[in-house]
Amino acid sequence: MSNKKSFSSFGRFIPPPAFVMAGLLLALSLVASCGTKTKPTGKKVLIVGIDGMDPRLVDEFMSRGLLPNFEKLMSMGDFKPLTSSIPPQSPVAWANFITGTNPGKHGIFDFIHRDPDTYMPYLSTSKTEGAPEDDSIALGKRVIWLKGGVAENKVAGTPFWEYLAENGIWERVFKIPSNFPPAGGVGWSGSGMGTPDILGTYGTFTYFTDNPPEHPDSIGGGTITPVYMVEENVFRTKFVGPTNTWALDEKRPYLGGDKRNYADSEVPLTIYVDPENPAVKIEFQDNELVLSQGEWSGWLPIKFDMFPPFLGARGIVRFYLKEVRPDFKLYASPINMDPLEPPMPVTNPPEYAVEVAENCGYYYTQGMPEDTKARQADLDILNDGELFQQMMLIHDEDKKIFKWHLDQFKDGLLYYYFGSLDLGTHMFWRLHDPSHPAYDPKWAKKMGDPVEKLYVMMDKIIGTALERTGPNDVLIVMSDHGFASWDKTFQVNSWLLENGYLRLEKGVDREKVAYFRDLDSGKFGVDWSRTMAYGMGINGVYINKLGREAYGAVSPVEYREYVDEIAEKLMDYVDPATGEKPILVAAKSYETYKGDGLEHAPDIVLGFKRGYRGGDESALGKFPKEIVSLNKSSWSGDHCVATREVPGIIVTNQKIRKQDPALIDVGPTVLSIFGIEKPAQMDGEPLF
Amino acid sequence: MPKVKISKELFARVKKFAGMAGYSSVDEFVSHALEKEVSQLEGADSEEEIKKKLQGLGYIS
Repeated sequence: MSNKKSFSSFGRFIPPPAFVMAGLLLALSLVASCGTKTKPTGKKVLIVGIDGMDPRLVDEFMSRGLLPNFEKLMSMGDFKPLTSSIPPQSPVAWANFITGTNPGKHGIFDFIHRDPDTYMPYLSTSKTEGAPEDDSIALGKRVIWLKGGVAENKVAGTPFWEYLAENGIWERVFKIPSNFPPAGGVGWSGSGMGTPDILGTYGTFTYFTDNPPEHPDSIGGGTITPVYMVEENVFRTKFVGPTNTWALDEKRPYLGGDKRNYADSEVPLTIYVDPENPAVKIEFQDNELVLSQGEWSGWLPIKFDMFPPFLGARGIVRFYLKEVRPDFKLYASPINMDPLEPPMPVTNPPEYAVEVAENCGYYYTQGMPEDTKARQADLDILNDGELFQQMMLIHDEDKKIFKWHLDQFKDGLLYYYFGSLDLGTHMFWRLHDPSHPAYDPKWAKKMGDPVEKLYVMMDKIIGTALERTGPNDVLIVMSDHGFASWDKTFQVNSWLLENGYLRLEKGVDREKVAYFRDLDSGKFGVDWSRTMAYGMGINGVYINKLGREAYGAVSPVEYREYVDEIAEKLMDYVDPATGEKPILVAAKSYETYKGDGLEHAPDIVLGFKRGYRGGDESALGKFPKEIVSLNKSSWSGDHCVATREVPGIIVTNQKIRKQDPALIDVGPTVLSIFGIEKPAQMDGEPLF
Repeated sequence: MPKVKISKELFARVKKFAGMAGYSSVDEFVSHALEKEVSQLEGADSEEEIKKKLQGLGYIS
């Protein structure tokens, strides 16, 4: 995979050379794409990827006659569970799918990896880095950058579609997870899960309100912006964009001597409140829209000036007017990168995004755009009904782009990804399952079963796919993992602490530690010299290994001894409330993964029993008081458990010959259909 | 509780807008404004940047 793309980073916004470079790359890719003539093969393979579709739920809904198109497709070929990755987390699973290899080769083991130098977590699949300040010149309040930042896709290996493209076979792979920035080469693909918003985050919404909470900064995944009615029925406020590294702050260009204090980028916003009706008019830049209470807007372009008139960061945003009176509540989506001119690439080649947007309109470029954070926040920013409405808007957009792709699809491979079912099942499991600790009878009565609705919705997509599939075409519907209820939480760091494998510094309160740092002093709260292992990420346990970790305490000689001992003890742990063992499998990386990409692998990967999941707190270096607790959050379904507990699905109009199909087999299957020999590094085998 | 000196003029302006902005007191408004400012400065630090990015991940609350 061509992993690095020198475009921009969010800390160093599109310096001139990178800007020129972007244009140059666009031109080159146009040449490349025009120059790479595709040849007809007489074959068509359509893959519909549905994140999180679960075989048990498919069975359940099918037995009630709710999925006629699934049933039809199954009758034409096969329906089997599809073995997911270890652990069965989406970035890992989709990387298995993309490369046809195990994580030991592609190098992705969790949503979150850790830096052994700092014990800090970071998002695993991509890295964006600004150019060092040495590569810039400050002239007064302006900064000139001589070098651009770098966005790097951390998935190692070659995506299977690249082999098709190299052989002159038409292919399109749209919005696939673990593909940001999109893989280079001659293949056409778009990035999905893992694609940041314009701020470089996984999604930061803005909530404009005249009744802000006491501590608005504590909201994860969003910004609360208090609005002031300075004139009658008029709010004047602003959107805050990415830090403008092309300019220094007007009033305080430097902090503490010579530390640059970069300017904010902002776009002023005026909201006129209708004095009588529950409606507003919103004005910013060239946009003017009227919105009634309870209404969602379409996409609106927004541009943050960086070095006007030459440079700016272009995004798109949509609003939801929740309430006008007595409190004013206006939700604005995370600002997505504008597909017509994204500050960072969202497709390869870049014109692929432009082509989609020109034919289908603006679309969500941010990965996982369903704003579960706005629902999770205690402020009722989006309630269950509103979140579901947003999912429907996203799905409508996906449907439109899917159909447009189908119209273009005459030969070769089309892969299309749908993500709403996954996030919907995470959030609405508690309305599907009355035994869940967070079951909400009020919303269940109001909404019915949203999970069922999402499956029915996907069945219609399969109906569309079937209509467009000829007798000689191959249709594969597949998912990356299944689902389970998340009833109880297991905090591995608390377990390690209570079992003497991890020690805190003297006097440190375990409940005042995060990222292994003592919140009072800002220093490490963990005594690394006496710590043998620590947890980070949703399923990972790392040995504090000498020579690898900054303050390693376990010698390479003792390493396996500790891995084996801790793995065994974790599997023996019994939930005192139920007598159940929460951990089914404690997979040791030295016997689980094969390959050269083990640098970031946890030493033990926890595979939970259905019903349990690793705690958010432990995942980020915290030590809650209880090792096991009830999960009462709206994030109520999950799949970060043992791989065998949550297989995905494969439904196809072909007969599957392989006994236990797995995600890693799909790529080699596609290659074999087109007569391309399986590359040596792929671990999977053809299914048909 | 520590006290901070500000000019009478600024205090009057803050008082005027605190009410309009829905804050229950000048103290609450000032605390919020400072918190926001400090968090922006913290945002320049790479560790804080990492934390902010992780906050958007639905899997972690």
